[in-house]
Amino acid sequence: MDSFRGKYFQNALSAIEQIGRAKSPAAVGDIITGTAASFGYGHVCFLTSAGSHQPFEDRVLWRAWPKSWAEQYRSSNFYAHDPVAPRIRQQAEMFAWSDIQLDTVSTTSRHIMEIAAVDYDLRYGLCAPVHGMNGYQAGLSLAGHEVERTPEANSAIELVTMYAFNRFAILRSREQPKPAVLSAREREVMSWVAAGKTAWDTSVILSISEDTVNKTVTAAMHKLNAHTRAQAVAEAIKRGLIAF
Amino acid sequence: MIEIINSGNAKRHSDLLDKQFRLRHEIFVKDRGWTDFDIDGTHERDQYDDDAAVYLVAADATGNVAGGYRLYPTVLPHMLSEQFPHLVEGAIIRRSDVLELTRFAMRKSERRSRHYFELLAAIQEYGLMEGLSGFTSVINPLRIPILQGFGFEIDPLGLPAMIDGESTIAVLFHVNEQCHARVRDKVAIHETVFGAAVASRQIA
Repeated sequence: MDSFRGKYFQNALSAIEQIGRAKSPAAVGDIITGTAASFGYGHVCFLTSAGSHQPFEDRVLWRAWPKSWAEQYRSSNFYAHDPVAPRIRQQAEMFAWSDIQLDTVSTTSRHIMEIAAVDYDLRYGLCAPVHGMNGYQAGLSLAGHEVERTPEANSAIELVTMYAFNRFAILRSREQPKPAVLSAREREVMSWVAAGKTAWDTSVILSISEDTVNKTVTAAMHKLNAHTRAQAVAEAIKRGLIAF
Repeated sequence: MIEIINSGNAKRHSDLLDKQFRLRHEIFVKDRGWTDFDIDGTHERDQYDDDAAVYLVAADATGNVAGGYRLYPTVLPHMLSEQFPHLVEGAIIRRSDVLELTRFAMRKSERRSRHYFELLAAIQEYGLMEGLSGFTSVINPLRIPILQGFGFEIDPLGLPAMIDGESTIAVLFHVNEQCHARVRDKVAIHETVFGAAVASRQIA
């Protein structure tokens, strides 16, 4: 018994060590896919809660789905009726699709489960939610047709999920503070915007077209993550990109 | 502020220590149903509440206890070695520089308070102060991402397993300067959590 559990633990541990060394989200994703595959799960989807108002596609941390299923899931808006989605937000403990009581979900939800099982051969699914201090953070959803359903396999998946989530979070926080660098032209144009010149004024001053001025401002706004010209000016001054 | 209570100063802190046992009764007996450790209907105690135990207790200026936990030497028979050895794959850690952390109790209204944050920071600060390399503990695996989010470095010591209907896992919390700095940063506490007396004793 000890060595039986021990084998699963060693596998989980080696996945966790690889996750700790992973340099990119895709590298973490590959390790999750490998762990899932070792238990017979061919479908993997790791979803973050960050900004739950965001469309489904923007919240995918990692996904290994056959194209046809991903395409139907998107085009038929399955996410809106996927019975797994609300449960993974509410329940902190791992659960299987088979734990979902069919009589408690809508007809549309039942159809999705049926299509998954019959048309895509996804007969068994497992979900590992990650809940933090502020509730639901992320969830790993796995599916396959012939999977290993032992407590040891589930425990190993649960453990790997926790560490994968943490690694995703660390890698993403490293990605974020990318200081915006404006080009010389963008700084020049933004300086005139800051001085209160219109796009036409600026185009005359710099001897470029008004269209170029507007495109340059838009590019600068994008780099500064600003929604308005005023915001972009304030941000550029704050970051010391233009003088004022 | 966090008080460090051990067999040497337990008499002086008898009031805080008593409130700590009462809080544990509220949390572990009343809420979680661990009736085996209900000694008198108001206090919770087990066989590891002896002279070797050290208590870190978060109290306010008026002596109210918000939370705390217990530390116990792993070189003595301890909870992981005697009650939950099946949670550990391989050898159980028994080292003088590793203590076992158990009975982390937090008053419900204090679960995101400064007291809670001080208790988290105290794990690292106490560990460094005492020259420890880590703490073993049995936790719910769902706490791993939460504690990692607070900057802790956590090794699993075995697979999660169900105990009395709850998922549990044995883990090792590392103690080092980097972890201490990360936890302090996350909870925005940059001075000692143990008060001037303890801090100056450490400097002297």
